[in-house]
This record gives sequence, structure tokens and C-alpha cells, in this order.
Amino acid sequence: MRKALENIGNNIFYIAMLAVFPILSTSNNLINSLVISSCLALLLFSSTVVSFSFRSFISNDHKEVVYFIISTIIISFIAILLHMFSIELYSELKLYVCLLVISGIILTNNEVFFTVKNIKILDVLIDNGKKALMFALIICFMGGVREIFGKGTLLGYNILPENLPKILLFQTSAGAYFLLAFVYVLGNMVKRDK
Amino acid sequence: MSDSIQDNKSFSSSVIFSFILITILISIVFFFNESNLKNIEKSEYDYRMSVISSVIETKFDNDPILEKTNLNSNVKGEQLVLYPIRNGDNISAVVIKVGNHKGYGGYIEILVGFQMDGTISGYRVITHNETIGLGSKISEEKFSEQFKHLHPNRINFKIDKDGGDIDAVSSATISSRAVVDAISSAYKGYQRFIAGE
Repeated sequence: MRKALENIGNNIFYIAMLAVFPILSTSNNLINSLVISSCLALLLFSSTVVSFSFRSFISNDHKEVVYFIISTIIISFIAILLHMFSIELYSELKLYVCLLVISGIILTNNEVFFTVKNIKILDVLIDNGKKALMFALIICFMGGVREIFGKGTLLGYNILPENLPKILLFQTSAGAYFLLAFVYVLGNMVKRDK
Repeated sequence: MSDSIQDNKSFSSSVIFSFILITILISIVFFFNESNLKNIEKSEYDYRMSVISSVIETKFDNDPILEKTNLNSNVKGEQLVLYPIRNGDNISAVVIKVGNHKGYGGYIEILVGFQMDGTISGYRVITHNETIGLGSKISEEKFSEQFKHLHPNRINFKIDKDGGDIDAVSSATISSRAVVDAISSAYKGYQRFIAGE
């Protein structure tokens, strides 16, 4: 178990942590977390493929700008898909889905293209998979914990007894930061133990 | 550090290529959006219809969104929209959308359904900016169920802290008061609609 955590949780863990910060307020239940993490995975893979296919045609002087614009176009495509999929989720999450384009994972992913020479697309895709998985793990853990202890439900179903007092802190954005601190401690423990 | 991947490409051709690429990508997204606009509008319309039918109990065969009318309000900053519900030619129920700025977090917007004798058939919060976990409980069933089958004229339609019969959400007095105020002004709008007909 720890071996597996080490494998995906060394460097990528901290990149994913960095990316969680801008969208903490959306992780107040599990469904939102799942939607956000799947949108990020979609954006990561599609922007990688599109950027990679046109990599050799674009000069180094303005690579950053072009890749950033490509990611922005792709995220608006994903926002349209989300709008078609569910009106309720879209009205709640549209701003945060569009903000995914400035999350740490996407920016570091774009950075890879204009700093590393002779890079293989397969390596990048595997790396993307790890990043997206780690991000999904962190944000779904936080969304689940916040929904269970803050509301007493999971995926909309009651799982805690009605009369049990709910911890209000978990539903607020401040509680998300407390929880993130615990996740950070957990990650540091895994790192120090090895 | 930053190795150039290839240096033989000239700057201008790269700029032109980038422009063409970005234009193509943008037009793909644009046409995708245009071709799905009808679907999106339809699902948005279905969603609004499902929200309206969730606050009434009778069946209807008209289009309430098409027949909506704006009502005047005496209160500043308050908006009233009326959706008539018809079954055949007769109006069988009325749904009123009220928005006011009395909530703890500012603007709240609710939808109230009235039967033709003035009884409330349902109530639903559409938008609110109340505190999560406290004021946001106004949209939960525990609070909203008590309005069902109430007649605003027959009881003391105020929250318990103001000496009325409505149980407010604990530690969210302002939010509960905003909801009760909104429902009573919706009731006034309903009365004016009935009198004007």
C-alpha cells in the first residue's frame, strides 16, 4: 500500500495539492468533486494531445501563449458538454470548471512542452494519468468527508442518523482548508517514512 | 535550461500557423455550441417546467413560461412574476416567483404555488446566498414542508420570534424572515391577480 502511495504520491502529490487550492469551495459534496476531477482529467488529456500534435510547428518564442489559449478553448468545449449533461451541475460549477485552466496541473503540464527536449507522448500521458488520479483522490476524499460530516449524506443519500449533530465547519470553505491541512500532514508522513 | 526544439522555423510563419490553428479550434467550439443550442435550450426549458410543476399539485396542459406576466410590487427592489397554470380554459393554480433583498446574504428568489382558494401548495428556493449550513436550511424539506396546505390569511403568518406560527430555522432568523416576507408578498400579488380578473 505504502509502496503504491510512494509511486504516485511523491512529486505529483504536491502538484495536485497546489491545484486543489483554487477550487476548494466546490468540494463540499462528492458529486461536485467527481465532476470537477473528471473535467480536469478530460482537459489534461485533450490539451496534451492537441498541443503535442502541433508542437513542432510553433516557435519557442510564443509557445506558452499558444498552449494556454488551446487549453482555454478546450475548457470552453468541456463547459458546453457539462451544460448539455446537466443544467443543475452547470449552474453550480460553470465558473469553477472554467477556472480549471489556471490550475497548477495544467500550467505545469504546459511547462513540460517548452522546457523538455525529445519528449515521448506516452510518458506525458502516463504522467498525466498519475496527476489526474492523485487530484481525483484528494478532492474526492475531501468532498466525501465534507459531505458525510457536514451534511450527514453521501451522494445525496442519508447515511448518518438524523439526530447526530453535524459539524458545520466542514460545509464552509474554511473547513476545507482545515481538511486540506490534514491531507498535507498525511502526505508528509508518507514521504518521511520512506 | 530551455532548449529550443527546432530553430529553423521562422518566427512569422509560426505566428501565422498559431493564428490559423487557434481560429480553427475556436470555430469548432463555436459550431459545436451553435448546433447544440436547441438541445440546451430545450433541457433548460424542461428544467424550469419541472421546477414549476414541483410546487403545484394539479395537472396542467398550458405553457406557464410563455404566459408569464410581471406583477407590480409596493416594496422597493422586489420582483414578482406570475405563471398561470391552466387545465383547459380555467386557471387551476398560480405559481409566483418572488425575489427580494432581505436575506442574510442578500438576494433570495423563491417560487410559491397557490391553489385557487389561496392555499399554498408548495414552495421552493431558486437562488440564495445564505450561510452554508445555517441559512441554507431554508431550502431543506424540514423547513419547507410546513408551508404546504397553509393559508396565509387564516394563521398568524410570521416566524415564531415575531409572535407568529411559522417555525424559523434555528440561528437563521433573518433568512427565515426573508422567506416568510417573500411568501406573504407573493400572496398579496396573488390576491391582486384574483381581484383584477
